[in-house]
Amino acid sequence: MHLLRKALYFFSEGLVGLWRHKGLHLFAIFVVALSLFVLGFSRYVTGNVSRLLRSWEQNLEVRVFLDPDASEELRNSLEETLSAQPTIASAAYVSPEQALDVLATIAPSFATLAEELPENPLPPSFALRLEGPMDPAAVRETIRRIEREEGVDEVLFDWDWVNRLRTYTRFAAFVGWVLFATLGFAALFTVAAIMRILALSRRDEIAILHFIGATGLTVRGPFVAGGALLGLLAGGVSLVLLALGHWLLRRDAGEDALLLTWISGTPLPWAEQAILAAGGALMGAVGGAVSLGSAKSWGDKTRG
Amino acid sequence: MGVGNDSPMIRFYHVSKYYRKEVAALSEVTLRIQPRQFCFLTGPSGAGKSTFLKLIIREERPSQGQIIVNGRNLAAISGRQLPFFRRSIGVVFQDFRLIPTKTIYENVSLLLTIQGMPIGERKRRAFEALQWVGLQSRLKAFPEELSGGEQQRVAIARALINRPAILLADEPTGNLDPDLAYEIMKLFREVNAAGTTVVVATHDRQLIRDFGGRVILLDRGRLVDGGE
Repeated sequence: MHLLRKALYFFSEGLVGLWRHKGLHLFAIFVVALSLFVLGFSRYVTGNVSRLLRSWEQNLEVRVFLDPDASEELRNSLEETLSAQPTIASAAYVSPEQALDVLATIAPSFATLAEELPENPLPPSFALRLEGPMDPAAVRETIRRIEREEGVDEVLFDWDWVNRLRTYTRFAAFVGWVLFATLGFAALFTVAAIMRILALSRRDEIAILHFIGATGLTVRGPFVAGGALLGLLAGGVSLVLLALGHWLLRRDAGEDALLLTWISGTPLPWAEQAILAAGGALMGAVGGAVSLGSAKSWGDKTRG
Repeated sequence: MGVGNDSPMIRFYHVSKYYRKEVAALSEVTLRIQPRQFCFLTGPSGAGKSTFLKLIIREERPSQGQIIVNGRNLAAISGRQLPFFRRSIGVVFQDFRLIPTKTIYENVSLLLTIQGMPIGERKRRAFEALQWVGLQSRLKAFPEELSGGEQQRVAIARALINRPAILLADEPTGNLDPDLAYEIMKLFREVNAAGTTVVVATHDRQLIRDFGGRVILLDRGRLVDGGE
């Protein structure tokens, strides 16, 4: 009960402090919200880039070329075998004629050359889509197994491209976290600096609290609670700004824009939104606590 | 912890305080103030009156010597214990030091609030303290709405809210006209009559003559008169 009363005192004082220094706190909320917005936006960009890279990875195709003399029976059996593999999402048969049509679309001169030959030189094949997220070791094992199947001539998979995509994805995630950490620290210092200004504006009050016998916790508590409330509000504002930016981007990109295929439905995953808001509160609380680093000396050096 | 009947409420034993190496704010001061005593602490500006009071609430530490207050050796009080020690001493300043953004009720009950006392009890005690100083009708006012004399009475009510053993006042009438100063001194006398040890630092000789009591005279940090 005593603790509850203390907590209530901290939060009510924190709230009263916010209200009584409205101008300064509004400015603080604006600055902190901006910092958190930049932080959230960096996650928005890197998160979507990672998402795009992952989707590309999932669209990668394994091509299984068949022996041109493979019977239809053998082909059907192979299709069943391929479809049963857990790492394979789908297996589509591509006949030599369909392969030629595709070639005609992507490289017309080669297609003309092929048509001039006595017979279609392109072999029948299966186009396999992988089950995502991709596990390279499992895919490697699957490919090895397919290569041993009767009627299979060759299996092609662009490991270079996979490795490159993996590197890009890791790099995007790394950049995202570096940005997140850097901007997080910047936001923390901003909060601490603002809370310091607020504390300085209330230094007489702090000195009074010290000489009437307030403990360090009691003096610090309202600043920590006020900082947490400020951070929470700023976190909320930054989420609103992110949602607004996300909505504007989707609205202005147009219904058929390629952009929309890789931008997520929400500005940030819900968990990250909660982290941003809670992180704002935590930063505010830490900023509030740090801002009174020398509060004891303020109390001990009262005039007289 | 408190003091026995014969033990002094405040005891200075060869206390010196240097702010800079060769400038002594207090020099070799030894004295006792008994429980329920009323003392004036006087002397010219720079005599060491404020330093004397700051040492009692351990806002400053002595450079040399020992100080015992209410049975406690101040040198042995840890940083954690200090706030609890200070709650046993009421302090009144010349410039009142009220929080301008809080109402009179909030200012007076501040210590009870931070102690986590239930609101009903806080209200009752704040009302009693304000009634003592005649301001029970101004609970909801803010300090700036009050005159200087009224603000000082609020500061006294705040100092008394926790029923302290000692009341220290540093030039409490310095900002008040003679009539108001007289009213405030009468309040201090009443507080003392109720059993609280009162130490009032002032350089107003007329007040000292009018109210009497023990007079401790300091000059350039030295105890000149009234040591025992």
